Amino acid sequence: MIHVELELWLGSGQELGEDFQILSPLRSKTKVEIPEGTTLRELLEAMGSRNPGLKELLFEAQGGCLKNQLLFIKNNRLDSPSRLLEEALADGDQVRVLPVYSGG
Amino acid sequence: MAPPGYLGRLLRVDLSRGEIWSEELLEKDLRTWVGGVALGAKYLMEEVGPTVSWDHPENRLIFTCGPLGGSGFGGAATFNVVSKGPMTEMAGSSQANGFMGAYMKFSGFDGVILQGRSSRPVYLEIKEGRASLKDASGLWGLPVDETEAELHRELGAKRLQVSVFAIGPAGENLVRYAAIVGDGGHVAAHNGLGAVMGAKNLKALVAHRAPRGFSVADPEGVKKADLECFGFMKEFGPFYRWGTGGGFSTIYGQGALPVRNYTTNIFQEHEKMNGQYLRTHFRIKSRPCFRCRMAHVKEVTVTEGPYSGFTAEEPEYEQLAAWGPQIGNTDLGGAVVLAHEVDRLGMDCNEASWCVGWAMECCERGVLKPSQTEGLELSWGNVEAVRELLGRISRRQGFLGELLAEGVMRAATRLGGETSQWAIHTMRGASPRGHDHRGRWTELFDTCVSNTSTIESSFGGIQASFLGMRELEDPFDHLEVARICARFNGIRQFDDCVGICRLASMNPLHILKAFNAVTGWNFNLEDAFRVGLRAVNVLRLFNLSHGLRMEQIRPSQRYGSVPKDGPAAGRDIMARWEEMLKVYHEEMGWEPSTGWPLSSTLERLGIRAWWEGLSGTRKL
Repeated sequence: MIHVELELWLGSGQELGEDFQILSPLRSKTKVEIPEGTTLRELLEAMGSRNPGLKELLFEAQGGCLKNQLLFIKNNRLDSPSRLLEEALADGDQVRVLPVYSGG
Repeated sequence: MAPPGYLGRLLRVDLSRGEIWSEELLEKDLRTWVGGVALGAKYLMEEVGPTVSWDHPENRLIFTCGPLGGSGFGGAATFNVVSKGPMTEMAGSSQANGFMGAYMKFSGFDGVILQGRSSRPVYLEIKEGRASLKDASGLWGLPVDETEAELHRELGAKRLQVSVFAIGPAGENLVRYAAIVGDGGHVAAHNGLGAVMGAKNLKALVAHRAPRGFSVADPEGVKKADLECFGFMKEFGPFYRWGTGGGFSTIYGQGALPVRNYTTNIFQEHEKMNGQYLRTHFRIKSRPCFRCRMAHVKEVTVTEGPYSGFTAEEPEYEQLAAWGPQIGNTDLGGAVVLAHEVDRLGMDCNEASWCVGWAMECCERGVLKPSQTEGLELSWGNVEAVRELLGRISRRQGFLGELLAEGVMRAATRLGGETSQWAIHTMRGASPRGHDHRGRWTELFDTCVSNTSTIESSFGGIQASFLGMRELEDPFDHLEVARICARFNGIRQFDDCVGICRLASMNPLHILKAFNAVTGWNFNLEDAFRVGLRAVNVLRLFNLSHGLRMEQIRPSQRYGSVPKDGPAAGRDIMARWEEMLKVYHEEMGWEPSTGWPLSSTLERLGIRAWWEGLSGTRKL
């Protein structure tokens, strides 16, 4: 098993439940234990199936796809969403999820 | 009879002769150009030749509204200003919200074209279908907020009875990035259009509130579209709850916040300077634009720090970025103070902050000497020094005030040495918006290829999926960035034709629905793109005619540099710049190596005959 940190910069809070620590009005964070070889997409889908608040935040209401207005940053590096989503996560990875469009 | 959404009248003012007249706007022309930027671009191209400099009396200053303005659609009071501007010495197009885009129409006109130069300071008052030039000698020298207050007093008008847009000392002193500011802090900021106004000795434009004097094709449809937009925007992004400052931290999280003149992308204090912090710690009061449901514009009173008790308009994201991380300031109250100061002096906050950040870096590196800063200690984050410096720039006072009044590109050229390597600008001299675009390539590329002097096809990002298009898959794929900028180009310019704020709806389909309800014209998406692309192509033709060269379509060394840290560290947009340009030109229907619009492109847009009539023997 490996450990991964997931930080959402999506203005979400208590609707995400106890698993998430609210860091600020913008950020909330959780640490998860997952099997080796799990991709980011698999992780988010698994978490979404258990957490309705998270599902609403990250997945389209119709069709259940990941919203395409999200950016993913792994270990402080912004990259193509599809690349990051399909890569297997490694122990200690830190993933940040942000909106593509966010103001200004 | 004017079509729904329009008065069908354009006001003309010759400031040299003191003459005022109006002319009819024909429906066929309105269907072609719609209003706003496209209508302004058409007149600019027709009336300002390549030998006319930005400060020449023959330059035109063109204010245009759009059909949505004052139609009952929430927040529709945006107007557009087009002219040949001093930053690029090419076309400039800029918008401001507030009330003017509705009140100008309530006063009887879809737009105003000013030419000539008044022999003394004047302001233009528009009321009940008439206009008059009035003496502004007593207003000359006043900052914008005091000008507004004085005009309200002089006209016996309460705050919402008139709309006032004016220049401050910066416009009067021809600071190259002087802005047109009004209605309590709304700004047409880009390409120094306030300096054009100053060169014409025009202090202010005033329009009165009155009953709507034009028809709307489908009032129920307008209401429906308005509710749909509001419902969408309440949930989209941070704007409704936190204002544009609500994006401050997420922009930081993406590596797109400008920090200390692009020398780093680390700004740990971001959550003490964002909209969320501001609205939960400072006192706020709503100050919405005309009939706006979103009401993201607020008045703010600082409640902590050295500026506690200070009240002003709440800074938008770009002001927070400019007067926070870009100058190394971590005191939010200080940013509120500087945002207010730059507005009242009448300057573009983006360019002002690129100038100040550059000067700070020059001081840090020992290139600017204490004798040249004349007593100012320009260390990172010194809010009081920046406040004083902004005043000096607006008055062109002293060595540094005069130097920075020219904008950072020209200042660096004049100071010489290595300093050009630290200046943030496009090679035409245009000011990037208040981000570190090295983490947002669509906007960096768009800023450089644009013909408006600021972004043209993008806004914050490109929301391609709204239009059924594929989203940008890789934010750092050179050719994909170039392609999506071209494919999306036009629709945001259509927004700037219809007279609506970007925050009314990010979804162009909503705006199109509102446009059709107002005009009854039943445009489809392709029609809307075509209108926007007319503006883009006409401004491109204008710029090429006025000397645009391909080597100017690129970022300055610092603007296009590789970030050393943060989420975009190591990403190098310049590695394939020439290929990006070629792909972009091809997608736009322009000649790949020169960027000239092809005849077939102009034909497709329905403006080939118009252009050939204007250009005579010009070879396309």
